[in-house]
Amino acid sequence: MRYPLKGGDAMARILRTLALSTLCLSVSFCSAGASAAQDPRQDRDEGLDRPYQAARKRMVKRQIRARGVKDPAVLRAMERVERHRLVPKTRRHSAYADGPLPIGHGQTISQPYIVALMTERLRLSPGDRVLEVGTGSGYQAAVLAEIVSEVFSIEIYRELHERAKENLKALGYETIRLRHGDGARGWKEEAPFDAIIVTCAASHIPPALVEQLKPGGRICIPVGAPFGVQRLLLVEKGDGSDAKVRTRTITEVRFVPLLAPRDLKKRSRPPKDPEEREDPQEKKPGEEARPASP
Amino acid sequence: MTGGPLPLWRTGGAVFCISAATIALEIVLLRIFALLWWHHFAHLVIGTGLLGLGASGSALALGGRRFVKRPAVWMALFALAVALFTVAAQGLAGAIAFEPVQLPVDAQPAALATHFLLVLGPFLLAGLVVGLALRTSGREAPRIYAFNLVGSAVGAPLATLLLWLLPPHLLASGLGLLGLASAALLLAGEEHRRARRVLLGPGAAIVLLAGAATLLQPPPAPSPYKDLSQIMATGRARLLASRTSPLGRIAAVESPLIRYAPGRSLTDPGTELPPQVGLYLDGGFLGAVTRLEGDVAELGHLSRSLSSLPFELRSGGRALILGAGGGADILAALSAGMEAHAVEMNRDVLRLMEGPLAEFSGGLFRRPGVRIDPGEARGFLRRTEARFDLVALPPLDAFGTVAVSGFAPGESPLYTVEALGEMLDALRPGGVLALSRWLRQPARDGIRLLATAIAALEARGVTRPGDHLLAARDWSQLVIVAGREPFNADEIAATEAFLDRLGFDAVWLPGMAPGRANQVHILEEPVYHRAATALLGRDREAFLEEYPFDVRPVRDDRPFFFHTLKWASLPVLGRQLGGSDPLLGEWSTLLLLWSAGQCVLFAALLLFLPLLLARWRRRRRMAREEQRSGAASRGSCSPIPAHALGHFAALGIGYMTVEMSLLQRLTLFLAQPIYAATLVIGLLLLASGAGSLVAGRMGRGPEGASRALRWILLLSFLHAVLLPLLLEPLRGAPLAARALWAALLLLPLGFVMGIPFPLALRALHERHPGAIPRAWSANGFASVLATSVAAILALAAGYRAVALLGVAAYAGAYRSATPGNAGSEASAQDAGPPAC
Repeated sequence: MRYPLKGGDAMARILRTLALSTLCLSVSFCSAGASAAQDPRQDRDEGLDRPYQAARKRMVKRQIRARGVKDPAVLRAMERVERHRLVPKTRRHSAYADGPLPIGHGQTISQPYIVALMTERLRLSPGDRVLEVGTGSGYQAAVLAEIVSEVFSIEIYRELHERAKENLKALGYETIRLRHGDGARGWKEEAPFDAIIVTCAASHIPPALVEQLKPGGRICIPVGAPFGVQRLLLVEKGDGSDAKVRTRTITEVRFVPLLAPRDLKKRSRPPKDPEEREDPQEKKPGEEARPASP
Repeated sequence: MTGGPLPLWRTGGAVFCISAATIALEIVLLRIFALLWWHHFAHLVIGTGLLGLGASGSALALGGRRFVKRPAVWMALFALAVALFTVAAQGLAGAIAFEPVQLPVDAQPAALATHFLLVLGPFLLAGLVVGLALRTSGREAPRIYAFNLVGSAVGAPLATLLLWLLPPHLLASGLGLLGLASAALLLAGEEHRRARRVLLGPGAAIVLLAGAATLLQPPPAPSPYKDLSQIMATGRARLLASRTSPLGRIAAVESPLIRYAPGRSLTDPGTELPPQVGLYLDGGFLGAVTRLEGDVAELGHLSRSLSSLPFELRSGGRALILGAGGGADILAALSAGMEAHAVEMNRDVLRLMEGPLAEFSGGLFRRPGVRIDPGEARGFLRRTEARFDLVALPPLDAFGTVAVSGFAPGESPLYTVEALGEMLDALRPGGVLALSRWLRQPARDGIRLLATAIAALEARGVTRPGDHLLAARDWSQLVIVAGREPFNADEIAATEAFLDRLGFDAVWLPGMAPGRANQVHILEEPVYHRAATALLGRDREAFLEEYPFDVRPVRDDRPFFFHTLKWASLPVLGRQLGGSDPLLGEWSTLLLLWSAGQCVLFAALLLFLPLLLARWRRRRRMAREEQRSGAASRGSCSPIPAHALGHFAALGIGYMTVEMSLLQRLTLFLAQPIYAATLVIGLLLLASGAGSLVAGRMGRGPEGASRALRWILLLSFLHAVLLPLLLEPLRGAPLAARALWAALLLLPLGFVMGIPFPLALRALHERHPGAIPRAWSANGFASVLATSVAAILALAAGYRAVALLGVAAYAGAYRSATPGNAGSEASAQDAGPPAC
């Protein structure tokens, strides 16, 4: 009786495959090691940043502007901040991909679009003071620092805090004030703030943060799975005659109830904002842009 | 002599040990992976591992006569390898980081493949032991199969029992001893003295050394994305106590960072919450225990949260809390001046609350006015005679936990029309039922709970459910209050005042103006209010039909509350999301499809491809022989008849689907998931083992199998159609009586289900002995595929459909086994000489 594969042949093939796999793995480990050994500032000096610049521009164009983020200050900031220098070195190749990335301790650097959307929703002005709860990689703080004069950021994980401190300094963001500690208590000494970004969802909105917000200020909190669908929660503190605190939920997916899926398709981007209708420049023919939030 | 038949007790004993180890390992690995990751990923990995059982048939066919010449030595070698894999695999798996949560952005192929192989290994090798035993046992095949079934029947309860005593990673190492015992039995005879010396001694030494090395290592670290890992990584948390049971590992953690107050009003002044201890189940946040030092009234935040709405309406009297957890709802009831009677299924939670956390919680569970009933909520509802002023069903999961883990297509027996009906029955006149759920966007769970509550009210004869309902929400939570009687104007006014004072939104109040909705916690559309209006009005059916998610009321037959995907909506939602998460976090549905897909792929590669190759080679050889002899010749081997493969596959599908539907229905009936699973699986396998033994004494003709299959068809059909009716009269009976009744219903079916497979195996052995590995493979793949298909079918059409699929599969098996039919064994007699 013959067998489909003789024992000796099979073993030889398995060994060959193993050897090849080992070689490939070694090569990838070596290249990862080499990349880890490089100094980020050295990259910059040697002009190795050019491919990343192009990727960043593409990111802004395809992931952010095309989805309806329009604030020129936000777009400019997203185009300037070198995200690849704030992600773990082994993840640099996907720094400008359309998704979040792990940064350790079960934390992530948010999807670029979410960062841009959150920043836009805060309606920032250059003189604003902004508090960030959850520094993480430092990327969001850097984006904020491109727009406003004062950024304060708190991180509970010491290792992330130290890493962000070092990276932000290397990138020249010297004015961002960083603190290691419990963000739910806010930063009382520096309060009040015009805006607060909370990058970690909690079971409730910490009252200390609402207290430290100026009347008319906004808190922005992403809620949802780190690698899944996220919604944004905006907390708005009224001023003047209406001092009520309200929340506003902005979902990435929207649909109008009592409409069938076929109708959904037609209305997937309801033209609520007149400005939106006037800015079709980035929308390619046949490309269905994601719905913008109010 | 090394190739002769072994005494039955040795082969049977070895098969018994390996089968017990295999099923125990499956249960233990599920626990280990649920601890490391999340339970639906664990199911996927184990489902993959079980493919090894199917692959073992193909491996046996590939090994061919080599294995058959020295079966005892080969089986002993495989058994030793099972032992080695069992003790070492989890250590290796723990050393290779794999993050299922990161799969959307990072495929991690190397880690995935390693885990896949490490889990596949022991099941493949165990399948080789059993398959080879069946292949070489000749007429004893039914008895060997009986040993296989009885071993499995013993292994399942054994693992469950031991999980109370040992952490799963230690237990996995211990299971390696069963592999060693199996090898020792196989090589026990004098004729295997040399093999014993060469194989067993060094093999046992290696296994024991690997076991020792694994035990010396720290247990594998859970995913850093788990809540427990994250709080511990802050360096500001301390593990106070932990307990392990088959329900999971529960840990109590003290940290100033734990502040759990979902539904807290934004108007609540910025006071600090009292200190809390976090409870974590398998590393996922379960809830918090709040420190209580004096009077409950000092916990002011309780009355300023959305979940206190029902207590605003009913103060004083008696409340039933379905899920005591860390005691948050008990505190709310006490602060409303009510007596609290709480039910809690996880006894480890109770032990923690009455032990290490008793002082911290101010002895809450032993306070005057508090009564705790260990057990499952529906079981309690059915047997209690007491009536309550308020029945509260808090969210059974903590806020935010499902966001990371995704939703499993798991059953939620408390969120069904029947369950809510039983809760309404437990109310006194004037009593209210309080339900709450976290809000997911796009809106679906909350709407579905509302639809289910409306259906439950209507099932209790309420004609205008809108008058019996109040619903309110904030940004994270929906609270529904359902009354046995209509709410009066005072109660509606009190609710409005409560919502206005604390800044919550009305979703439904009798006579509510649409402009009142969506004022404080603003959604892009007032989706919940519109849904409530549609569900309570004439547009209900159109709304349910057109809504992009399945928000129809959930019933016991299809108790998948969280499975809300409508496949037809997916293309649109997928486009909107730009591919970022087209399943909206319901990954487990995808994993289920993945599981089924990979099973089909494996079956195609390992079962059908080798068959086609063998057929092609045989034809080529026959053509060569024809050329040589100049005449048509019959080859020395023939393929396994396709209908025989179909017969074995149908038996596998039938057995697994009937078992799964019985498991679901009896778990609900017994109201103790762990005991129910142990009882159902154990008894069914035991009865099948007895059936298999009896099959060994039956005649050689196909009549025996046909008769058994006729009985299976009759009994499984009766189970599919009548089981809920048969269980109904004893729903409120004590557990022992229910268990006895369940056993009486199970045993006859289990017994006859054990007969056809060994008879078919024996028949195949007489005509095509070489085809047994393929048949084993077909049965294995079909069984694994059936579990995925049954789960998908249950999601789509309910468990009655699963039971009927089982009946259909057995009908197919009957057709291929009945004399006179095209696919019968009788016609297989003409299929030619032994198979390749």
